Amino acid sequence: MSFFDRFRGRRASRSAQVAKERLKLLLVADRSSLSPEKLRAMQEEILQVIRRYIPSAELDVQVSIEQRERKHYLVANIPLEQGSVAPEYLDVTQPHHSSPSDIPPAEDEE
Amino acid sequence: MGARVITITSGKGGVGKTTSTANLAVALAQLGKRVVCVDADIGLRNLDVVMGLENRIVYDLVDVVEGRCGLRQALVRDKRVPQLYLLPASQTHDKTAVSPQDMVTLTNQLRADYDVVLIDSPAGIEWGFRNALAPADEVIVVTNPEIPAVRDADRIIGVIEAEERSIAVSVVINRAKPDMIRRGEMMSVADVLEVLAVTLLGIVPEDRRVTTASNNGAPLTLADRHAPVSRAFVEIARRLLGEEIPIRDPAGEGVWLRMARRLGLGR
Repeated sequence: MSFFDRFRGRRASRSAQVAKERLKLLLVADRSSLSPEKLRAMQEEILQVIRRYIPSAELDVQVSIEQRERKHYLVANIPLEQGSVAPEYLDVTQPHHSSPSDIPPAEDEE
Repeated sequence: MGARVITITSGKGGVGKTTSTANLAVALAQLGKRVVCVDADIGLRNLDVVMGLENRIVYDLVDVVEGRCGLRQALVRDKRVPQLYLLPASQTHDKTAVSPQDMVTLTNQLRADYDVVLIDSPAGIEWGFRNALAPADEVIVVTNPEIPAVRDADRIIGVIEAEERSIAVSVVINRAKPDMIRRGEMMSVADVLEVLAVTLLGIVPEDRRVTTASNNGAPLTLADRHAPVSRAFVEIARRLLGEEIPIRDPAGEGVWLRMARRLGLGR
């Protein structure tokens, strides 16, 4: 898709881009039966939980919706850098995930 | 089994389903296939007008289903093309006059004598659409690069995918306006495909001659086979018949290669 992405960048603020973004949100709502408002509320709550554990995550955390084939997934990108996690929670022994594709898709998003 | 039964639908009305059915039918017939179009929009028939055959209708689909005439008696032959027929919808009956099972029985009768049965589905996802879907081996979803059309196309694709039997689905993007797409004023083919995530069968550019051809009672593919719209439909027809023809994007974003093989569309 990178070939097309180049074109897309050029018309970033055009109405086609607006249409596509609106359509994507609409389809997430249609396919999941979750209203955009509920979806936003869920994203905000997830962010709050993350901030509780990782105070410095304020800026970098991204909770977004990704589409693969005809299904949508809620994906959270949470950088876990040295010193970012409050010490009392540092009992993690597993290596952390570094890319969204490593994270198993949330099943309840369909 | 004989003919392939292909249903053309869209969810939203007014995207060019009936026009696409008529043009695709002409293209397939010109390629030497025996084609019969079935207008499944009972109560709101229109395919006859777009094909220019409205004055030659004697019986209709409901007459056949209710036994007032034989199937062959109700078929209207298009004399301008070899082997193209229309089974008109009824204008006077309610859509509930026909059941999905009736449609299966009817198309099974047609399969032996034709190569392709094209069913023009009504808009919506209710009774009429169910009638059109029941006998389908394949479905072509027609859409426009606009939010309401793509949203409804997505809904229809979801309904088809939820069916127990597996039905191949592909999409035709109709009324693409290359200049608007280039200026970023209309969603591109890439945009639409990214959200719908189904096989692309073809792209048909917007052309006012589609309307004038319709006015004159001859699908553009019949009136001017060299028009870009006509060429698009001929290529769609050839792809349906299994030819590998790259899909040219009228907005010049590149060439789409057909991705239908895994769906078994290109028989």
